[in-house]
Amino acid sequence: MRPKPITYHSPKTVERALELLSAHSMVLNGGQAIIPTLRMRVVNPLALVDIKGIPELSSTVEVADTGIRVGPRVTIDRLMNWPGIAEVAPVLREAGAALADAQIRAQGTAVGSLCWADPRANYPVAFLALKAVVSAVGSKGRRDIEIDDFFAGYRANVLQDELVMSVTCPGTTRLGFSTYREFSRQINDVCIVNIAVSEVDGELRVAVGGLDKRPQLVPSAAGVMANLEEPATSEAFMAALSTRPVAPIEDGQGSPEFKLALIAELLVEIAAEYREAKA
Amino acid sequence: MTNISGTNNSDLIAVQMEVNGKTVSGNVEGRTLLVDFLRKDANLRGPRIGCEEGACGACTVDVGGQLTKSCLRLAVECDGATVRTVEALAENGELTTLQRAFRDCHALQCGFCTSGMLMSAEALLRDRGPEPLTDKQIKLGLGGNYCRCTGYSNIIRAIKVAAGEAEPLADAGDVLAGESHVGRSTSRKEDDRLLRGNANYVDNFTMPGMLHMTIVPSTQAHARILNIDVTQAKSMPGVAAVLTGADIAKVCGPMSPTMDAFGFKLPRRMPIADEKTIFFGEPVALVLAETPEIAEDAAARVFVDYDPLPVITDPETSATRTSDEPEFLLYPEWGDNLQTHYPFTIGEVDESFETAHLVMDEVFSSQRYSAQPMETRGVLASWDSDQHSLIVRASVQIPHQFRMFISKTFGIPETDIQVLTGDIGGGFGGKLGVDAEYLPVAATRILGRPVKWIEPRSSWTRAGPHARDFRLRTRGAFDADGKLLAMDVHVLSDIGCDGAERAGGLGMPINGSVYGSSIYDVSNYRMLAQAAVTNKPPYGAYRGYGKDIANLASELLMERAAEKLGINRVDIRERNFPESFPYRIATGPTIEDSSSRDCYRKLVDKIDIPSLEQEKAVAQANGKYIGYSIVPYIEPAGAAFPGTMFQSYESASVRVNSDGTVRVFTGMTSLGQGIETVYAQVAADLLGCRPDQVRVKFGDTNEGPFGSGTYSSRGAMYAVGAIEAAAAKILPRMKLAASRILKCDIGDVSVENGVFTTPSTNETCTYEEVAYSVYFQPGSGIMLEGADSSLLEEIGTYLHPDVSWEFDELGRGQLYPANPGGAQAAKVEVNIKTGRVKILKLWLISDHGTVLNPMLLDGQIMGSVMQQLGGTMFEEIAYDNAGKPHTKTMKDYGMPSIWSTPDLEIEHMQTRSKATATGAKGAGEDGSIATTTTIVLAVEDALRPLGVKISSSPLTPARVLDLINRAQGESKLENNK
Repeated sequence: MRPKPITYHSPKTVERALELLSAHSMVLNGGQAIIPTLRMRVVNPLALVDIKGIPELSSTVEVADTGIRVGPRVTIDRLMNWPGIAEVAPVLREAGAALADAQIRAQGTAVGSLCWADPRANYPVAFLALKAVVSAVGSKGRRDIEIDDFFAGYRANVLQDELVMSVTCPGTTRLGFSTYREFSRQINDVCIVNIAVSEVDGELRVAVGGLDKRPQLVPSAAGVMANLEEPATSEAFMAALSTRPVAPIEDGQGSPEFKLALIAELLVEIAAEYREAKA
Repeated sequence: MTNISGTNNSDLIAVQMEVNGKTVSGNVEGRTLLVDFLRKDANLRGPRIGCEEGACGACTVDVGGQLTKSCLRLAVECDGATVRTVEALAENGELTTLQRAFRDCHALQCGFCTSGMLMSAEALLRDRGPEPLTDKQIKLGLGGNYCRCTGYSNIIRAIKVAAGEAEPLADAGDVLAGESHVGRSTSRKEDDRLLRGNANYVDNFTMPGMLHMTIVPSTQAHARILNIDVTQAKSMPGVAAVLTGADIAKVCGPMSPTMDAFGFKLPRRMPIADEKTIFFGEPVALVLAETPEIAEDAAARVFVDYDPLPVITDPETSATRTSDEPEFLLYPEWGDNLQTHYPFTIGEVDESFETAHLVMDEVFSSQRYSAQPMETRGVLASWDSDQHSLIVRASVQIPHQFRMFISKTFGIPETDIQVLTGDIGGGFGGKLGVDAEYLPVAATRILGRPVKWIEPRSSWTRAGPHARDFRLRTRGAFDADGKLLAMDVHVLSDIGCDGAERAGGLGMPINGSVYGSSIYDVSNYRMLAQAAVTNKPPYGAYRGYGKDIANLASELLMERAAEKLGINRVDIRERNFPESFPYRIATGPTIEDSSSRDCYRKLVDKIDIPSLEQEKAVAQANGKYIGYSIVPYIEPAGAAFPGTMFQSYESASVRVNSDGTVRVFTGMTSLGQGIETVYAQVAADLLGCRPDQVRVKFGDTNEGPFGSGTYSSRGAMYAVGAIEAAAAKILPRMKLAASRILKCDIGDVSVENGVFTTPSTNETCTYEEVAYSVYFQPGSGIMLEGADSSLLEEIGTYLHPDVSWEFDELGRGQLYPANPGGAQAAKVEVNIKTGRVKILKLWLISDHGTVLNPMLLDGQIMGSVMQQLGGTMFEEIAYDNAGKPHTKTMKDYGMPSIWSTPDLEIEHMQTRSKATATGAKGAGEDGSIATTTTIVLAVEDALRPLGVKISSSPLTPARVLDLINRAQGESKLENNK
């Protein structure tokens, strides 16, 4: 199938793009998540605002002591392979490597994946674990949004006709252990559950996706992992996960209990790596 | 529709790109996809649409140095860009190293995915580092390109060959004197055009004045249609017509059945819902418009009022309904919901079960899944009432029979109909049935304009032919030594709305039970095959065709009885093999030789059971669960059922042209099997010429004699047999003419590789010289004087001698003339915490008699293994209780990607067939038969300490983990007692 009729805009400035954004329009960045839904006529905006021609929107990554800054036009491929990323924040590389396929990694952007906010998408959990800050601009000006407050529901975020100017992760010198894992039927298939773990400013953050309508931070699981006194077992993680809020999604990939069991197992694997890293 | 600002949504926007070095400009809508721009405005054929969500990768191109799926980009986004497609790969007309590597590794079959596959492979090779390529890197690079035919291993190999890190598979070098062309791994003739993106799939054709058809699907699985409001849709600009069942009924009758035999009940329905809908997705209206986009827009404005009827989704409940509850009968006139109820009993079954030492009672059910070829269904039909000519270009496996079905369905004389099938982007049985294919024919008949229908992937998934979806119950009576005394097999298939009229799947439950004893010796046998209708799409043929069910029926019994009796798994099978062959199984068919048993014994030696047992023990000691299995199988081939499209004959016409080239026309179609190559090898041997002299043509009903088409692994027997018959008549004429040129006795003429010689004088003459002498200089009157014909052209036919339609008093006949045998083994590891099954290794040894082209046979085996692996592990079309499918996209469906490529080792035995001149038996379905059995049994073996038994597929982590948890729960309960 093909999309419904749609008005296409390609503004050259952020200012013009913001004028064009409304409840009836959508931002077109890499388009790798949006175009399929347009083709299946699941999502039917009246207009697309293509931001690829706006020079102010960066397609570079900055890796500095003050933090990692990812521009909104940085493709997944580019982010994965950006010098220093694999060393400083492996989670950003691993999340990319596990994402879809070469074509989609070449076109899709990390910030786009974040904004799409599918609970099983790779970058929402990765940035959640990294305690990222989303810097957005709208007609009322600029604002920084803590990642913990960014997601608003299934494939929904809190942006209101705003554009993301960058996503910043805290100081690289303060980033410790970080990793990404997912479980899918086949490698790089739509994942059933995924997990990103990152140590930020000494705080261990565990983000899980695939379970709820939005990716979730699970401090109790982080607590189990951070406790190096006792070996982290799947039972301990199951207990920790039971305290989190539940709004399960039904995606035909298994019951919430099954997904919890998978997450617990992935967490055990990650915990073993974490212990090793800390030893 | 209101607009915000900027361009109006239906305004055309001028775009310009540099495509393969040429400037291409055009006017596009905002929504126009790049792939459509490339196909329409740049007139390219390489980038193709295989899905709707950017999953399949057949549309992959390079935009500005970046790999992209051109169905996931808007054309307008790429204004000003530089685009490269597969058409730009060949340099100065020469195939690149990569393209040649694909050809010489048989890394493509139907070729539909190949354009995209090559673009991804090229990018991978371009961006690689200095180190040797790893399998993982290749998978990372090609994970976004699905292939349904090859099973990917040859693609991986081709990329390594292109990188200079592996050797090609094809035989290089010339054929020496005295050597045959048959038996060589010859590279395929069809590959050159496929590798350049130049194949002729239906979607590559357009006609002046052509309309695009979109189907308005039913949104109710079972409902009376109260009203269809087409006024809005009809009034939209660019819409030529909106047709409903009432319109179609004026030109079209009930669909001509693909199977009308064995007392199968037929629904006698039209290809479009008329008064009521019988499945979700059934066509209820057609929109004909100037572009596919407009047709889809208008389809959304067709409003249908439904009055829901009770929905039947469960085949087991469906099977029990009677005329007492007419509201629960899909076709009340049938009196029940069973399209077939096919019992058979022989021997003393009940007595054997009563007195048996051990009775096994096992069940297995399979989910609903589908052939899913990369190319969906497609038709371009054009009716010319002045010329009385209907030309139908279609992606179907049976062009001649389709012509007959069209004639019967529309009442058009067969003479006036031409069916063309060019390259077909995969079929696997899924393009044997025809239903929606009639609709473009109906539309062109009504409107008098050419009509094209290219099915969207979501339509294939919700309305195309479905398969498998069976419930098997198999019971076995054993003595204390593990000898099988009696079997009782019941197969119930959920055939959706039909498995015989519009789709040919009804043979699957029947085969599943007729061949339920596989190659084992058992004389007391009862079977019941049932096909219950439900409110789901039709049940079509799919590779394996019930032989998969049959294999499970016997092997589940063997494996589990062995465990119960404490007998070694190999020993129990040995104890049940027939003492001698040919062996007539209880239901009638004769298994001609011991090849299945012999392959099994060879494979038992090969897999080294003691070392596997040790590996298993070591794994268990480390808390890991590894298991293996090994089973024999048979592949009944060459199906021939009276009163159905599965026929026992095939035809070929062979002509030696005046220039010495040879034209072979076959009634088979080309879906990727390599018929252009193999039949040329065969013809070259038979006629004493070179394969490069031979051109194999197919897929045009105006060209050759009636042929019955491609199905049931029949080509190597039937098509080759027909070519043999024709060649056998032509060769003596060529020799006669040659003897007159060489001035020798005809008995002294020999011919090889296109050159005639006579040992007495050592004089030679060429094929071209001989042919020209017959046609023209001086001519047939002299050169063929005294011959049986004055032409170098013959029609050959082949009727398989081992088909028997003379049924005995019990109804036993021989509908499959050959039973190639084989054996398969699997080694798996199961993670008991996540339920993940990892397939560590697969082995397969098969015996197809003489192997015509080893590389191509292995390609068929690898592909069929991968398909069945997908069906065993992931693939599913899931339904809710309202008969609505959950599965919409290819990703939802679970198409196996390159990441799931198994480590598969293949070997062959070659027990010549006595029935065919080449000694070949049929081939093409091996992997479809025992892959499920071996994986299921290997998983059970791995989980033996937990006592897990598997009774359904797919083996998703969720299902396997659930079984593990339940088994552990039970064992905890046991311990607490």
